[in-house]
Amino acid sequence: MIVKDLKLACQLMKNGHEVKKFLGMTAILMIFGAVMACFQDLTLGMCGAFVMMSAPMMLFQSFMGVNMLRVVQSSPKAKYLQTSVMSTVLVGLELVGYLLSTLVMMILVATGVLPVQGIGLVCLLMCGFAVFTMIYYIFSYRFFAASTVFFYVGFFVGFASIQKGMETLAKLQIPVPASFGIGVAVIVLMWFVIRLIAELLVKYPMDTKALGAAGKTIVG
Amino acid sequence: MTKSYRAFTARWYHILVWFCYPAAAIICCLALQNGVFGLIPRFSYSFEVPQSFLGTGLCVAEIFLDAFCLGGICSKDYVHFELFKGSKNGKKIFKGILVMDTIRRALLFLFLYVTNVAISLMLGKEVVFLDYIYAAEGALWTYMICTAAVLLTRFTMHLAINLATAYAFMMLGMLLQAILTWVTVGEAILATVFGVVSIVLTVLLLMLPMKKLEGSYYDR
Repeated sequence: MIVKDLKLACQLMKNGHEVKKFLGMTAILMIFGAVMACFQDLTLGMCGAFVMMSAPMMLFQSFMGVNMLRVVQSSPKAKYLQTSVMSTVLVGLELVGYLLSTLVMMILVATGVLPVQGIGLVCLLMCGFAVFTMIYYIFSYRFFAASTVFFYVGFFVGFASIQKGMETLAKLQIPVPASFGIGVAVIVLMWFVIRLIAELLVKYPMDTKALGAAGKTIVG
Repeated sequence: MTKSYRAFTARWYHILVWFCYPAAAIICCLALQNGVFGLIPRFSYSFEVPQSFLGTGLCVAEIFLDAFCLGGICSKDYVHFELFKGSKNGKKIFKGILVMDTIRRALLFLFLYVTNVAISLMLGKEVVFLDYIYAAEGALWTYMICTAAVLLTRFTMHLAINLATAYAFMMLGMLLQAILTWVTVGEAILATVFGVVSIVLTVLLLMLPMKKLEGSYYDR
């Protein structure tokens, strides 16, 4: 089922609006994140990891752009696309981002650019960030303004309290492989939560404001 | 000019840019210069830090707002020119909108600078002449970064790409700030370079959409 969903999503994304720009921006963000992580500082490394993790999410916008088209919305598969396929794509992209960013972090640790201490914490924080962004994404295409306000407020509150959270997590002394495993498990299990939210939200109309100027042009 | 701009943009946009922006600027300047209202004294900065910090934040806010006002206006898929093209005064009105938008952006950065200086003097901080120069330089380079980012985002219509560009430029801005602390070039030379680049970018910001408007449907 997952493979079928992903295949369908890829076909849709291929026909999306400005796909090349999305792919280009994904690549640029990945490079930016990797460069930031190379600065031999754990805080910058963490910011770089967040940027790298957000990079594949660009493609989700492309997928949602296609989903908002009237021809897709009026098709019999509209509900299936906006629940099952959307959850799979969202979780899949987030997982790809998480795996890529942890891979880059591990390479940087192996080459001695980043210290091994604290990487486990970064993995857990990235997992928290992934959960937060996935919930934001699922709401933002239905209630853009409200969810964006909540996202920015939540992000800054989270960022301000990150020090306290890091201290608490550091006390637990979770090893790096375990932190990585927990991160992957949580993101995969989030599929059920996302699917449930998607099922609940499917009755509300899509918010074209989430696409920016493209909303008016490609959706009409 | 003001009339054209008011007609083109929504009421919530005006409330945001003429009331919420300045209020947020004053509150943030006060918070950053006063150690978050005395709660965290170590976050008490002299005014060049809030100038650069809030300037880069303003860059993201500007792009976010521009996406809903003139977003994607230079993009080849932008199709909302018909009314301006068909009207006798369309070109003049459109030019008025662009000029007013640019003036508003420049005024906002100027307001941030004046607010910073005024709050610093109000709090009785010890300020030397060089601090004013540093802060003015900060205002100039943040305006330059903001104009460059807005110019670039007008070529794409998707909000996700616009925001990713904004974050990338914010990071570039911070990198520039870090480089400026190492560089030993004279302040006057740096200020001149920033000023000239800002003027060139502003002219491009006005010229490119006008060129797009003047072109026929087949020119795009």
